[in-house]
Amino acid sequence: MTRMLKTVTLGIAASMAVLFAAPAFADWPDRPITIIYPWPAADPTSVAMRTIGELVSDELGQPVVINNVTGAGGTVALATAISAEADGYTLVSNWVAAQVSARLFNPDLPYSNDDFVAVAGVFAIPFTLTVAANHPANDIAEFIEWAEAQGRTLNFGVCAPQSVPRLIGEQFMTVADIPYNPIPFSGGCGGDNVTGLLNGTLDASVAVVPLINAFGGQIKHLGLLTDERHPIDPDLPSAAEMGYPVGWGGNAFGWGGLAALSGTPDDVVMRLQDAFGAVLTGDALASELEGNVGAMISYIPPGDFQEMWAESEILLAPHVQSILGSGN
Amino acid sequence: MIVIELFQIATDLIGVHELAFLTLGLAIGIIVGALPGVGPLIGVIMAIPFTYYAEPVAAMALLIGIYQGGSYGGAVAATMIGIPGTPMAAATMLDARPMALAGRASEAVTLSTIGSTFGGVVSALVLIAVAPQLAAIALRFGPAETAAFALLGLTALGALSGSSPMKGWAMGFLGLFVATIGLDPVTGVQRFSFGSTYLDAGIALVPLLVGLFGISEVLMQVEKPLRASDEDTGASASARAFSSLVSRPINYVRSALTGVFVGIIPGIGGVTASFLSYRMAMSFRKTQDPEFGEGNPDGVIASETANSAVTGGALIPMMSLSIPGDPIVAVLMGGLMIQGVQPGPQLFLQNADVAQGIFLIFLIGAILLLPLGLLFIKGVVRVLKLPQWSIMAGVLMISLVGTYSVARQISDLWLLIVFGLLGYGLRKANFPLAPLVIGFVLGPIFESNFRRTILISQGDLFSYVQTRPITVSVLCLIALFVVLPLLTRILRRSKPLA
Repeated sequence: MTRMLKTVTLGIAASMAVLFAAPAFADWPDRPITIIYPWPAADPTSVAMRTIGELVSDELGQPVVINNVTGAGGTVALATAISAEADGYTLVSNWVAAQVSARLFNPDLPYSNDDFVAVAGVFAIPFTLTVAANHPANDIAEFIEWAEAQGRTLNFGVCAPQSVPRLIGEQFMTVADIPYNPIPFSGGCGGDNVTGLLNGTLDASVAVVPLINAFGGQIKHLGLLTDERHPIDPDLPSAAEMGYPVGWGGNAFGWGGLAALSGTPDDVVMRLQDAFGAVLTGDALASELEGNVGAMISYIPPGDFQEMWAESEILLAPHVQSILGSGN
Repeated sequence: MIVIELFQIATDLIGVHELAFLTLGLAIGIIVGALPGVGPLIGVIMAIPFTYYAEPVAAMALLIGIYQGGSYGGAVAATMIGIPGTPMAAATMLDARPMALAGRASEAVTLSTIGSTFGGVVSALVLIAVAPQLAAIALRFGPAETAAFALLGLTALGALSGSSPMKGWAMGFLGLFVATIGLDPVTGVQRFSFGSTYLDAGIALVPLLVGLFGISEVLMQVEKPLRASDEDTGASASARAFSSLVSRPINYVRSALTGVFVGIIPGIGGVTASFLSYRMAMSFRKTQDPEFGEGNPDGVIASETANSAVTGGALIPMMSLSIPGDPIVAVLMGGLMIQGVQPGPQLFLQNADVAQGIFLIFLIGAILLLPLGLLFIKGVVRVLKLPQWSIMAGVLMISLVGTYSVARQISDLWLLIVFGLLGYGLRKANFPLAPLVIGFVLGPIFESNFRRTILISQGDLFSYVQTRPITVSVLCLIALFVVLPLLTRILRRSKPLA
């Protein structure tokens, strides 16, 4: 009996010790860090994040695990993340689609910008105006000329229904004053919409630059739907320089980054920001990720990244309202 | 000449490394395919990191082996324990399970093995002979064609429920309804998700399938143990299975060609292929065979041959146009790109040796499946000699772990249990489960493509469809499927009057 009591007391003492030791965070990190990632494991950005995770784990001395929690345009990942402890062991990759645009469409999503603290902006993916390779137009100006000559409503692929590429694509068509019929594709920017271009069901589509390699010579990009050119393909002119400004500045991108949960101790957040900043600006990453995957990576310091969330929200809100109003 | 050329290429491209990777892939594939919930998709995703440091052909050998082995392995679990290891095996189970319960377990699995090998070899030959030419077919399939094809699959719903077509339709519509949960594919509006972000993503296929079949099977067996058994010695059972190649050749060929064709169409997939092929076999029932659903060998052959033939068919648009037709092929494509090999029209010019190497690996894999599959059956039969309670405890554990491993979401386990109880209730009330799965799989394919067709037609659906000959012919075929049985019934009834 006494022996059992002793064991129980010891047990309680031990667990109390753990309890009181935990908040100190002096030893952070003493176990693996998980990044909740919203896109599938085979996605190129997921491969890039895995490489970043490996390099960060060298900095922090603990493994960095990528957990692909996919679904509903990235909202499932964010909703899953907010139920985790704010201890810096769970990070989430937050993308503009899930954190800003989806929330404008569905205000009852369970999270807001205030639930997250920026660690780093990681990706900035510019969107393109893309047609099949045998299309007569070779740049944005020729495309608009061609479209005006058609005298009909164009079938225009816009990626996912509530996505940022859709908002940017529709903004461009409005600025260019081309009658269009938006056709959403649940697979996003890199799948069925390109097949639609190839088999002629679409006249044009919003897409992303790396697709040109993926579909080797079967499609062509007419230009970027941005204000400025992008290092991912410096030869590709922007819509603004062709005279059709989308006018969203640095927000005309599919941005994605990393965030910790609000309430994470400041020293832990700072260590995360430093570790990811060092890796994202370092040479090791550049040499590991070559070509298109590397060019999608564009480090944004945490302060600026955090500001982008609210800026994007202000920019996107009227466009979301006009889509909701049109009943599409 | 072609044969000599191929042999030349084979010895140049494929060495010990490639063969070892292929064999390993097949073995992994068969095992993950047989485990409920795990499946070949998880298998190829987990294998991707191991391909980083291999040569392109060896890397693809591992992945293709898992793909081929996985699409076969599901049949083993379906036959032996009554749980389709993969969605594609749901049609196989309709007849393989009754055969196994009637003492023909080894024969049923051997039939699956032969069917898988046959389907794989036929699709490999098609792949080698005419991949670039056939790829053009994939491009003819726009939203209108895909929607029509999905509708064709949906017409099989009533036919798959044996005595009561109404029950089949009811279950099919339940499947269609479950598939509408989540975000609307065109407007992105939430449907039946009750504000839950988890449900916004839609009901996942794995918890639905493993719950309906796996958990409910465990519950059924708690009540009344049912065992797969063999009345014959292994030798005579496999002799009987092999003789089907001679006695039922048309079924093998028809099912293989159906599989290859469905495989080429992007976004339709192996589940549809096996059910369509099964439905076709039903139209050609031999009078001496048992009814379909009661252990007809033609059902097993039709389903397994078709779903293996899909694998080769699906590689055609992936390699020649870089259009991946299903999620597994998308991962295979990722694996190729990691190797710096870009699928698409240029593949056959720039990396012709890799393309040919992949074709050959695929052919060899399909052939190797036969001995490996037969070896595997022997092992499984031994495992099944364990006490029934220990098998069911194992099944329950694998179902839970397998389902969790897909997305590492605890909510998936709750869903698994919900569908397990639903499946149990439905089976007790004698409702067939297969139509529910077809409705669930085909519903979203039909809905999103049909609605896209409406959008593309810009409000004039009727004249748009008239400009699409494939759509029109598929719609005619559907009319035939629906009207023909009605007509024959009316004719039969009117006969005595005349």
